[in-house]
Amino acid sequence: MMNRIYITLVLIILAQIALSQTNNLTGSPYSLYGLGVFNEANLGKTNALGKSGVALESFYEINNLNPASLATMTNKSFMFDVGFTGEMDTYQNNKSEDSKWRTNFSNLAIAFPVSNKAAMSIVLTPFTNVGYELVGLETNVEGSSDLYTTYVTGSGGLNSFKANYGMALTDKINIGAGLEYIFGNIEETEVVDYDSNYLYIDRDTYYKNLRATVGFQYQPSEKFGFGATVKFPTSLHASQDIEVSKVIDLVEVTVQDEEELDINNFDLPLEFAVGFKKTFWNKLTVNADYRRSFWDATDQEDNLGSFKDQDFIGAGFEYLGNVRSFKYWDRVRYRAGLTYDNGYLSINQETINNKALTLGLGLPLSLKNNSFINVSYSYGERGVVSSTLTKENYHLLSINLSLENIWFVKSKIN
Amino acid sequence: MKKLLWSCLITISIIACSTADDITLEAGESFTNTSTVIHKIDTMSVDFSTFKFDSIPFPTLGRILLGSYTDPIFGKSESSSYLEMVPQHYDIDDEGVFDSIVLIMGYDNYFYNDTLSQMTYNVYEITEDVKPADNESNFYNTSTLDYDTSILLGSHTFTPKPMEGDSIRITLNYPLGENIFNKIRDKDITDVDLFRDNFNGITIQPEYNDNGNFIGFTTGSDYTMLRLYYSVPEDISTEPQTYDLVIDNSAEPQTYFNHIETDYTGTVFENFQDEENTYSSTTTGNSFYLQTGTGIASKIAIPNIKSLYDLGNSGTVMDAYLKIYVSGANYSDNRYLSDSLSVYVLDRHQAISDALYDYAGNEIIAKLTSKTEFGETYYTIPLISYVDNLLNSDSIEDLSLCLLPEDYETTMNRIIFNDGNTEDFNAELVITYALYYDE
Repeated sequence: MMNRIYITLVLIILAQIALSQTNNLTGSPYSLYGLGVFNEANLGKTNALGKSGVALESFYEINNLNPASLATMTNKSFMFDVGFTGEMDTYQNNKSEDSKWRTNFSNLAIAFPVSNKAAMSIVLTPFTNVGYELVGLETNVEGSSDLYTTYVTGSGGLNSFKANYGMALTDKINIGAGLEYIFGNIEETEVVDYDSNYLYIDRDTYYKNLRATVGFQYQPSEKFGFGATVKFPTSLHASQDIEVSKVIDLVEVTVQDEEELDINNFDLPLEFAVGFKKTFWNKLTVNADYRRSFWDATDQEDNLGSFKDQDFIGAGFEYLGNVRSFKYWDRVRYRAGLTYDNGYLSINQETINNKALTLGLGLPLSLKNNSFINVSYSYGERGVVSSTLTKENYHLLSINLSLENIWFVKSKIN
Repeated sequence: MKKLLWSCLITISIIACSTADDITLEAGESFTNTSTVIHKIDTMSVDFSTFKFDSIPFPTLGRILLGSYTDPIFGKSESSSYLEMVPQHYDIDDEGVFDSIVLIMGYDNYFYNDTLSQMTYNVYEITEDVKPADNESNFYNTSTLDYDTSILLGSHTFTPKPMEGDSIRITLNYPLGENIFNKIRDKDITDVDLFRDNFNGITIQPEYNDNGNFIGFTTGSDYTMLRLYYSVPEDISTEPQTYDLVIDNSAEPQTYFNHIETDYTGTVFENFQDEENTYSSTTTGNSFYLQTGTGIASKIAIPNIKSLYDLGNSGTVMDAYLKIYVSGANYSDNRYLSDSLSVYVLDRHQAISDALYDYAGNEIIAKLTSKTEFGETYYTIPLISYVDNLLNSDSIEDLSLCLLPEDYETTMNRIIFNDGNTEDFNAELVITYALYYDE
């Protein structure tokens, strides 16, 4: 029991450190829109499986894509998962090109059984990431041929703190539910240069609310299964601190300085996902997901783009030679996947779609338990090259440490 | 369990080392429609009008302004001066013999209208104390003093050379000089009070000349004085000795002033009355006016400034300036325009409440620009701080503007500005307004 408290404390400390590191988790100029770029890095192996896994279990790794999967967690085990990503992005449009490397925290999670048939997980992940700097946007003054230049930077992002509960309803049917608290802030700074007079606008927007998820898995056999999840729509309450000043004749003048202004909420859409998995020859597992986010129904508008329903397709393959083999490489899990989504924003009739190839290895740490280092690499492209939009190529390396302890067994030895 | 804790520690250290460089990207124009939209507005209406100060206090640092002429638009104007001139000491050689008295006045380079025109200045003796009227602490451009018109102390007809000349000399009546000289030499006058009992000062009255000019003379004691020439019989020097009476520039109130007289018959100013009345440019030929010395001043108001908020409340002024033109027919080399004008804030009673300042705390001036190739001559007034002030104010009636040249109390310049309704070269107010919120 002491151990459990101990771990909880460590987890809280970790969470705090992670949250204090939320600035600029992405460098995508697309994070300018909406709440930023939605985080797709997840726990465990799903990063390497085309980001899919609604039908997958949580046998030896926490599967965060479907709360129902927790029901499959081995009794008396405790799992811990921490992940990091390293991202190398290259941006390109008609005018310029730039690339950056960055490393981030991507998740922190624990899962533990609550009964023979049920388990819980607590997961902290980034929810959206904002990190952009756009320089030298030239715009025409309305009613004149004069130009003004804008510099925009954004940072911050939202986090998700989620509790999931999954239980086995029958041998074949698992159900689960999750409640996440989405919270965080996005800071946007805009500098407008008009004829050597400057306008500085600093907006710090805070969002928060709860969102519920339900999940379901049906496994007629060990080798075959379906899964589905529904994320319910929610409205993130928003409040904004705004600080506006201008520099006129080299003198700074405060224009507005207000805190906690009520601004429009941001609505997250209804989202459902379905997936299946099938294992062949006890070695190769194939799985695929389809997900749809009903953004259209949120009836929201961004400064520039309009929201549209988003489709997501992901598929993954995992190969495992022999879990009991004495040859290490036979025990390694080899993974590959593909993912595509058509974006949720339409800007000038162009959508920001995203496609990626994922590859990964699950490296077992020990024969005695299911502890892994999951390494995944994905190469993706976001957006298109055009006069308005930017193409972004990214190399995403993620490392997850998935640790399992046979809790109660070890305690006895202690 | 140990392994798990180690992992946590490693995790902490890795998280703490997270890096995040910003992406710097030159994006296409419409990649982001930033929420800030800047509007340029040149249709804001401005009220221009003319009014007249009842009187103008004479400033501490004045000048002697003499002259007259008839302006085609402003009519007749004249300026005469009243000066008290006192000794700097009361010590004259007992043997001194008075020779002559000469009024010397040094040019200070100010002139207006035709300097090729001959002027005649007549000098008379003031017959009362050179003091402001009862209940007044100052002389005004309307002040006057009695003087003895029966004795012309001196007269001088000349063509002024305000730029290249040093000074003018007017020889005055011998008995005046002799009287003053002898009383000081004989110790009958030993201080300024006794001096004043004997001599109040002089007034210089230019003769009226339709096409005359206004000339400025300095009050500095090194350049302007009543000089008494005398000789000492035993003195071997051939040079005559001098004894000077000068203006006491440190006196408060001043002991000299200019009296300005106008005749507006037949001009747009004929019916100008009380200084609280303003005359809109629409009733004065789509022009508004300024005449220094007499107190005709230009008033500018922007009554509808708050209609900027129709564009949106969350906005701010990034630039604002007023451009007011002067038609080519309304100025010349002789009747030139001031290079710059001071800008003052008027309250609702047309009283100056303060100068207008920019955000850096400097006084705002209206600067003259002449683009001869386009035939454009205009004053530009930067108004960002002013427009902000108007937008934040509940009583914009107390915040109209007034244009006056720097030394408007002691000059006789005039300017005729076009308002916003003339055929060419209309006055325009240009405001650049940034809207930073589009909710």
